[in-house]
Amino acid sequence: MSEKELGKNISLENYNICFETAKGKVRAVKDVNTVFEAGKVTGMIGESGSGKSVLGMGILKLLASNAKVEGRCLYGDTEISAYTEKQMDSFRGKEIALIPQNPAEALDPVIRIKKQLIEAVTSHGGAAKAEGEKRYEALMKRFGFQDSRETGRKYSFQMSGGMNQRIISVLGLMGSPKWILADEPTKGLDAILRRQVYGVLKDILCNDIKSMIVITHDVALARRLCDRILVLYQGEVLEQGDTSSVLGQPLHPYTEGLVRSLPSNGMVPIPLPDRDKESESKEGCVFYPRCPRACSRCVHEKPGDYQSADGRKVRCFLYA
Amino acid sequence: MGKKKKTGIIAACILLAVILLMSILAPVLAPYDPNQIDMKNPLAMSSAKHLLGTDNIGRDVLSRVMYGGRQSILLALAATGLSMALGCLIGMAAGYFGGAADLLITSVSNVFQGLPGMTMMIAIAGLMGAGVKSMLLALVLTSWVGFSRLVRGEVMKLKQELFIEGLKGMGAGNFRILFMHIAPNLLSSITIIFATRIAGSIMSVAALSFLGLGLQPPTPDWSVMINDARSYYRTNPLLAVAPGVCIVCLSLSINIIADWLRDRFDVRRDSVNE
Amino acid sequence: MLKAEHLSKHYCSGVIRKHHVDAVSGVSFEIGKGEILGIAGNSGCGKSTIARMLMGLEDPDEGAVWLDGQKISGLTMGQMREHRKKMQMIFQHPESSLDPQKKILFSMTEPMKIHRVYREQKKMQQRIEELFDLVGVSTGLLSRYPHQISGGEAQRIMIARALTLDPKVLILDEPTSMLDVSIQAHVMCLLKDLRNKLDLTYLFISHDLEVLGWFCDRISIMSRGKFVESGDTEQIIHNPGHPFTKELVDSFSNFGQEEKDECKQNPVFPDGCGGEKLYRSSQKVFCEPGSSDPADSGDRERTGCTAVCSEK
Repeated sequence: MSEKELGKNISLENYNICFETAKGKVRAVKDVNTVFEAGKVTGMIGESGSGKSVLGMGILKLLASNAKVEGRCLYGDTEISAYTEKQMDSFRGKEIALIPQNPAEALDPVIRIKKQLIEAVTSHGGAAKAEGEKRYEALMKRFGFQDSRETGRKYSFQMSGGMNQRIISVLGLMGSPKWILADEPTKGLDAILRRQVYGVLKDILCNDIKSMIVITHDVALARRLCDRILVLYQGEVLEQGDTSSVLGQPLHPYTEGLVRSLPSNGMVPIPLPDRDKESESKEGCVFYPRCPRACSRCVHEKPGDYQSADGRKVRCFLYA
Repeated sequence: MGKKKKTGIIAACILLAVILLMSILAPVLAPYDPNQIDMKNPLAMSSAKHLLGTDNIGRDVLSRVMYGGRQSILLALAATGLSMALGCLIGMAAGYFGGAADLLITSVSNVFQGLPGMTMMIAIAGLMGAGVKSMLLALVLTSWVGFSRLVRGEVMKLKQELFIEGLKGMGAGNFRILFMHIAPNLLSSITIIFATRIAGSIMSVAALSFLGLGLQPPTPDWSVMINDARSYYRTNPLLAVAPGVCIVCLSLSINIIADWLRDRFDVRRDSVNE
Repeated sequence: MLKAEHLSKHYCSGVIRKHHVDAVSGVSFEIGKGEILGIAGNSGCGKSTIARMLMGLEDPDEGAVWLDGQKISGLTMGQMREHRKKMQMIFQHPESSLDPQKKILFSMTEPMKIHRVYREQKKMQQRIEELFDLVGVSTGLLSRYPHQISGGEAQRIMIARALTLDPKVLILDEPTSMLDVSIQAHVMCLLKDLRNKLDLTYLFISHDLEVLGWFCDRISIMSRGKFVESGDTEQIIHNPGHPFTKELVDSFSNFGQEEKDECKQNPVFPDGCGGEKLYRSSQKVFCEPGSSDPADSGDRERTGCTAVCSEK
């Protein structure tokens, strides 16, 4: 496939996001260096507070007004972190589309489905209405809504959770983007719905878009869907590499702990942060207070991204 | 928050503080006794001796303006406080117990809501005779509904919260749940509505007194003063303007502060949810 | 220890045309002392309603709850009080299970105050410190407000609070579904540990079959207000009988382990509407009410499932 279809690589260089709050600066994303390769699915996994959603929204520049971004975000060679709001508006949707979490809330409850979907492409002045209609018909069929006219007349609250998820996916695809950014697609869903959502994403991957970023806390989903994985903890990418190696033979103690705490792997908990160690290290490794394999070096020194033998990048002195 | 808005709020706070201080310290600050009649010097223009001049029977206007807020502010506070207490109790009962109690209370409050406030106040004052007591009663009767409706809604929301369910599961009695858990959680919304209502109450007290149904002359009161000044406003406009400005400033500053309080609490609520 | 007999709960909605929804219909189970029974099912299948009925937060329309050999449904609040000590519940959202306006210490002492267990503040404090030690939370949190602690800490505090009255049964309504996996592992390990130490009986409600499989002795699968299959954990997970159970087990055990799917040329969604169709079919074909033909295979009972029974 050509670059035209796949889009370009998204790369982050020394990327930082902090929020100015009443209580001072909060650093949500710290020193991220990574490349999201076009044509691949990259998963960002981490627990709540790991900064994965903030990082995703940072790429799309959808952050709250008190956020401050440092470092560069490149799309191919163009620096999108320097884009104006207007440039960004046409960039979102055409190049990268967001599939937000909680589809029922992402859709406007008082506007009919069809109008919302078509507005998504015509409002940017991109496509003509007729073109939008055509694309709408085609996508609705693809996503299993045989009677697209009937469905289009409905409102989001008249649909079930699974249907809304597919509608929101259609919404994302309306502008024919090159990239999809899916934010927590399985959060709060039960097993059967979760598998349906997986089906929708897989279907998009197979038929429409090859380049995807998936933000999730669901390790099983990431294992099944992603080619590459970034493991985030407290705003830092601790390990990044191919899915099979990161989740199969985790290198970083945190990744290892995360994988072992899955119910299917026996639910072995990661130790809780040691209060003494927490107060001891302020500038050291973020995982130090919970790390079972910590050494004296981790207390005062921040580990860099070290390359392992199989090409993974791990932020831990064990692999320096 | 915008800079402009911030300056507005600071100005409102200063204005409110000035008016309150002036009223509280009136006995110390006022140059004359507000009721001291000086028939030799009626309707004097402003001078070094009488900064705002004198009224038709020679009383010092500045002194009367200083004293003029004391009664109406106290009355408004008392009326709002009473209607708050009544409204909260009724609203809590309706929201918490639901069912028949709720139906009864809601229908009664709907009737009260439907009654035109000012007309009702005038009717009550007419029935019971003008005076402080009847004005208080009229104010409470017309404004408890605002509290009870809000409180009922909030309680119904709170009732669904897990910590209330948990307390029931633990065997906590209704009394404990209502007064130790629900009431403190209502505090912020009650504070906001209290602040909003107090401005309204001040206006109502002023209106009733102006109509001669509330505070009676010779009480030094702003609205009574405006009423007295009706015949002289062409020649001595200060007589009506001075107390009028005071009433406007007071209710305006309270309204601005109440709005700000509401915004602040809403923001905090959102940030907690995040 | 805890027994439910034919519990049913219906809700009515609508003013002109009444809609009857059977949230729970005819559910029976029994939990022995020290046992862990799991109830699995999808969102909206009625599992939380069962918990609420057991706790007496909602009165069942039919059926009764027995605790320790005594019938506890239909009791007045006063009569219920004594029984409440024996059974406590842990909710899904730990953060909202605590009064946001009260410090943790207040919330912790409250059950003891309600039941007048200790009179002196000192003894209460002592008991709380014991319990905090047991669940592994620092006593420094006592002076904080609920929004100042993390979800994992809050859930452990909720467990400690439930234990203040020395209950015999804990009802756990999705206690970890809002927590991160590593914190979930902590809480689940803690609960298992506590059962052994304090000889507790659990009813564990969850949609996560993996967690249930790890934690429970027996599992009942619930769909649309009914138990469709009950049995030992091993059996349910490894040899599911009912089609719904199969589907549920499939969505878990095969989800993370399977190799990546190859792209199918034309992936088709079940015509119209994905899972809704599936749900509907599983309701119609397999679970026609009244058509139950409970055929016992081994020690497993199946209800309301003609399809499977005729298969065998």
